[in-house]
Amino acid sequence: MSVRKMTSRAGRRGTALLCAFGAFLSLAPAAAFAADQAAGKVTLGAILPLSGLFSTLGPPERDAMTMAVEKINGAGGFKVDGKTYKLALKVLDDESKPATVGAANYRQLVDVDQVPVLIMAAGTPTYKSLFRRSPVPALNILDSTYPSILDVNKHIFLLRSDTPAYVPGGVWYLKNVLHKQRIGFIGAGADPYSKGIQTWVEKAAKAYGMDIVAEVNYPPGTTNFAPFIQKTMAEKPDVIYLGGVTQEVLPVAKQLYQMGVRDLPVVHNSGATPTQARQIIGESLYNDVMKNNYDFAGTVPQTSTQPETQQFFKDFEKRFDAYPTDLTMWAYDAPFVVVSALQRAGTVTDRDKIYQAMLNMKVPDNTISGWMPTKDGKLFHDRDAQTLSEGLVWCPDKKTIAPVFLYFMDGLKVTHKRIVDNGCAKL
Amino acid sequence: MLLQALLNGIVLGSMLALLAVSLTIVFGVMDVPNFAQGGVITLSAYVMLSLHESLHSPFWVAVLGGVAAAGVISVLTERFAYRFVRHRPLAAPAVALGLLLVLDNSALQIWGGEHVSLTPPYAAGLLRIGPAVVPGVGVAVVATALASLILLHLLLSKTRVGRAIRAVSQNSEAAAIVGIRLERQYVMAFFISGVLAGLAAFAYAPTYAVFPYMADGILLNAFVVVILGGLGNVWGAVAAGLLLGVVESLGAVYVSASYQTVFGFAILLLVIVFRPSGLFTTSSGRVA
Amino acid sequence: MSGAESAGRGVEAAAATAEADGEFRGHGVLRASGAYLGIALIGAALWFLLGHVNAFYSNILASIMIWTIATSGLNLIAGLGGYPSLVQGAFYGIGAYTSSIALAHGQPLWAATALAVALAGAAGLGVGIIFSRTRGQYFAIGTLFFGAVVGLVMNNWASLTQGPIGLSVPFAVPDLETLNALIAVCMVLSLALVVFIGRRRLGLRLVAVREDEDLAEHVGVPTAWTKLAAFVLSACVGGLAGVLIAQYNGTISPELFDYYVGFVMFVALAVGGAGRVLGPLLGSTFIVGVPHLLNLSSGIGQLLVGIVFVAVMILVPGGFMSAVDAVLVVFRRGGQSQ
Repeated sequence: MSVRKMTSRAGRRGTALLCAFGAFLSLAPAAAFAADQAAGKVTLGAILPLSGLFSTLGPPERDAMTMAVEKINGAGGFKVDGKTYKLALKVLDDESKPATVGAANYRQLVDVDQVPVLIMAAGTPTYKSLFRRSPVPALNILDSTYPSILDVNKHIFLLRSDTPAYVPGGVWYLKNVLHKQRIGFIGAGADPYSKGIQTWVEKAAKAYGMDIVAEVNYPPGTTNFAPFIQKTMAEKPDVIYLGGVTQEVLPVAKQLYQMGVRDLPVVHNSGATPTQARQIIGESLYNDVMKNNYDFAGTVPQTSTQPETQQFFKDFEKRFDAYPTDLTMWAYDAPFVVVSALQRAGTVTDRDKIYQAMLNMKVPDNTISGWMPTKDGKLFHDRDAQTLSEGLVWCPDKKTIAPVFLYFMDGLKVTHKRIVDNGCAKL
Repeated sequence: MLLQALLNGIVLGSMLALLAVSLTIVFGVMDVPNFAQGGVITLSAYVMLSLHESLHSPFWVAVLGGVAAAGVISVLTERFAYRFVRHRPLAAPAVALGLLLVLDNSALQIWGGEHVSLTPPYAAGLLRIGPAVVPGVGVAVVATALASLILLHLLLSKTRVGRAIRAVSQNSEAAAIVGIRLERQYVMAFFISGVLAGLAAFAYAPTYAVFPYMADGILLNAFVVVILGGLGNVWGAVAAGLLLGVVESLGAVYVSASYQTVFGFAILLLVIVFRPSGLFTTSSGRVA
Repeated sequence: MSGAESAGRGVEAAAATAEADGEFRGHGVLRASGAYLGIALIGAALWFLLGHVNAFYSNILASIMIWTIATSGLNLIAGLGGYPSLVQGAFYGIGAYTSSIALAHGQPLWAATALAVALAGAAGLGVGIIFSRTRGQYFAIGTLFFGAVVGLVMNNWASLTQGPIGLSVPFAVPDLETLNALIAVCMVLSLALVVFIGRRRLGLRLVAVREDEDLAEHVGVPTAWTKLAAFVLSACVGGLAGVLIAQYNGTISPELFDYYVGFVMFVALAVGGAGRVLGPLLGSTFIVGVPHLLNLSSGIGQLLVGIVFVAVMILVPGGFMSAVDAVLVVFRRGGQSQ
C-alpha cells in the first residue's frame, strides 16, 4: 500500500494548505518597525479602557494625550541624540478586560510593535507575568490601588498620587469640617480600587476618631443595590462612603436617592464629571442626586493658578465638550514625560537606558499637573509622581463641580491644608 | 427591616413573574427556551431611549414605541431562526443563545456600551409604607406586572386568539385537527411574548440603566422561575416568580447578599434534576 | 411498541452503529491508521508555524490549537454521545485556575497539571451524576446554568481567584519553544483520543446512545456508565486545555468560566462538525481565528459567532465536515465515472 493511500486526503490537503498559508504569513510586517525609525517616528503605545466597566476613564485620557501629542509634533517634534522625531499615538482598547483583551494588547504593543514605553491605565496586577516575560518601561496614568501597583514590576511608574495620598484627607474633612461621626461604607468588592479605598478609609477613621458603622460590598454585575442600602441604613450612619469608579458609584448614589436617602452626604473618590452624572443618573434626577456629593481625588485643572493649566482646562472643555478632571492632566503630561525620558536616555529603542532615565529624570517643562518634585528635584518618588489632592462639591445652581478642600498627605497627617468656602460662587 | 425586605422581594418577584410569563408562553406553544428575549428587552429599551432622548418624544410615546418594537423583533426571531429548528429540539437552546448574542451585540454596535439612564417622570417618587420605602420605579414594576397579567388572562381566556394559543400549547396535533392554523399561533405567541418583553423593558430599565447586556442577568433568573412554575404554566410562573423574588430578597438581607443569584440557580438545578415538570404542574410527561 | 417496530428500530440502530464503525474504518473521510498519521502531520505543521510566524499570528494559532483541545474533549460527550453539553467552559476554567493557584503555591508544573486535570475530571463526574437522568434540551439548559453558577461563584470568590480583574499566572515552562511543543503534542493527543475512543467499545456505545438511548438500554448497553465515562474524559481534556491557556496567556480571568465560553465551544464543535475528528480543529479555526485575524472587538466577534451559529444550525447542521463530505462525494463520483 503506497504512502499516499495511507494518509487521509483531508489530512494531506489540509497540511499543504496550512504550509502555504504559513509561508505567506511569515513574510509578515516586522519590517514596518524599521520603516518607522527611518522616518523619525516614535510610537507611543497605550492600553486604555475605552469601553466596558471603566469606559468613563479611557476616552478623556486618550483625548488629553492626543492634545499633548499634537502640541509636541506641532512644535516640530523632539530631538534625541541629534535626530528629530515625531510622536505617533497608538491607543488600544482593553474593553475593561485586562486578562483577555488587555493581555493581547500588551503582546501587540510590546512584542510586535516594539514600543519604547507603554502607557497603561487599569488592571495592572494582571499583567505581572507578561512584564516578567517581556519587560518594557511602563507609565501608568490611572491605577491607584492598595497595595500599590508599583509592587507588580520594577519597570512600572505611576504618574499620579496613590490611594493613600488622597483618601485619608477626605475622611479628615468629614470629621473636622462636616462634623460627621458614623460612616456607612458601600463598596464594589471585586474592584481593587474600591478595596484600596476601603482599607484607607478604615485606617483614616481609626486615626481621626470616626466609626465605621456599616461595611458592605456588592458583587460584580449587581444592578439592584436595595439589600446593600438597606443593610447600611439599618446602622444609622450620618455619612455614606461609596467605593469604586464612576460607573460603580453613581448608580448606587441614584438608588440611594430613590430609596429616600436624601439628607446624608455621599462621599467617594471617583472623579465623576457633570456630563457623566447626567448620562448615568438621568437628566431629570441628577442635579438632586448630586446635591450631597463630595469627591476627593487629585487636583483638577480648574483650581490651578498656573496659566498653562488654565489654558488646558479651557482648550479641553471647548474641544471635547467635557469637563476635564484630574486624570486628563496626568494623561496630557504623559507624552511630555516620555519625550523627556527619551531625550535624557539618548535613545528611542534601548528600553534599559530609557528605564534608567525615567528613574532619575526631573519634572519636564510643559507639564501642567503641578508635580511636586523630590528633594533632589526628581519627578518620581520611588517611581511615583505626586500632586496635591483635592475635594470637590456639587453646585446645584450651576449643575457642575467646584473645589472645597486642597491638601497633601504625609502618612496620615494632613498638610498643605486649604479649605475653600465658596467655590461654587466663584465659578 | 423585614418589611423592607419583603417589599423589595415583591418588586423583584413581580419583575420575574412578568418576564417568566413572557418566556413560558413561548415554551408552552413551541417548546423553545427563548433566551433571545434578553436581547428583545435590550433593544426595546434602547428604542425607548432613542425616542425619548434623541427624538424628544414624550415619555409615554417612547414607551409605546419600544413595546411595539419588542413585539416586532420577537416575531422576527421566530420567522428567521426559531421556525427552522422547530423539529430539532436539541438545537433550540443553542440557537436561542446565538440569537441573544446577535441581538445584544447589535445593540452594542448601534448605541455603544455606556450605561445610560432612562428616567421616567416618576423616578423621584416614593411610596412609604410604615418604616419601609418603595421607590417610584419599584411601584411601576409591580403595577406593570399586575396590569399585564390581568390583560393576558383576559386575552387567554376570553378571546379566540387566546383560546387557540392554549389549545396549541396543550396538544398541537389535536389543535391542528380542529382547524387551528399552527403557523399563525406560533407567530401570535411570539408577538404576545414580545409585547410582554417590551413592558418588562419599560419596568426594568429605569431601575438601573440601559446597556447592551442589561437583561442577561435577570433573564437567567426568569428561567429559573419558568422551570419552577412548570413549562407553559402561566399561573405557575406568577406564583414561582413571587416566591423566588421574596426568597432571594430575604436571603440577600439575612444570609449573604453576594450570592443572591446563586440561590436561585441552585434551586433550578435541583428542580431540573428531581422534578423537571416544575413545582406547580399536575401533569407529568415533558421530561425529555 | 410493536415487535415489527422495535425490530425496525433495532435495524436502524445497528445500521447507525455500523455506519459509525465504518466511518472509522475507511468509508468516511478518515481511515483509522491514516487518521493517526494525518493528525500527526497536521500537528507537526502547526508546530512549525507556531515557531516561525510573528507574534501576532502565533498568538492566534496557539489559541486555536488550545481551543481545539478543549472542543475535542467536548466532542466525546457532545459529538459522539449526542449530549449537548454547554458546560465545557467550566472545566476549562477549573483547569486554568487550579494549575495557576497550585503553581503560585510552589508546586511543580507536572503536579499542578495533574491536580488541575483531576479536579476538572471530578467536576465532570459531579455534573455527569447530577444530570444522569436529564436529556435533550433540559440537559443543555441544565449544563448552561451549572456553568453559570460555577462562573458566578468563581467571580465572587475573590480571596481565591482575585475576582473579575483576573489572576497573573506563574510561568512554569522553561521557554516558549517548549510550550509551543507541549501545545502541539496535546492537540495531536486530543484529536487522536477521539479516533481511539471512536474505534473502541466506548465510542460505539456512545454512538448508540446518541442514535437511540432507550433502545440502547433495552439492548443491554450500560448507558449510565458510558455517559459518565464520556463526561469525565471530556472534563479532563477540557481541564488540560485550561492549564495550557493559563501558561500561554500569562493571565486568566473568570471570563474563562463564563457560560458564554461553554456555549462558544459548543458552537465551534457544531460549526466544525460534531462527532467528526477534525471538527474541533476546523470549528476552532473559524470561531477563534476569524475574529482575531480581522482584529474585531469582542462585541463584533460575539455578533459574528451568534450569526454564524444560527446560520449553520439552520443551513448546514452537520458543520464544515459535512460540507467537506459533500465536496468529497462529488470528487469521488467524478473520479468513478471515468
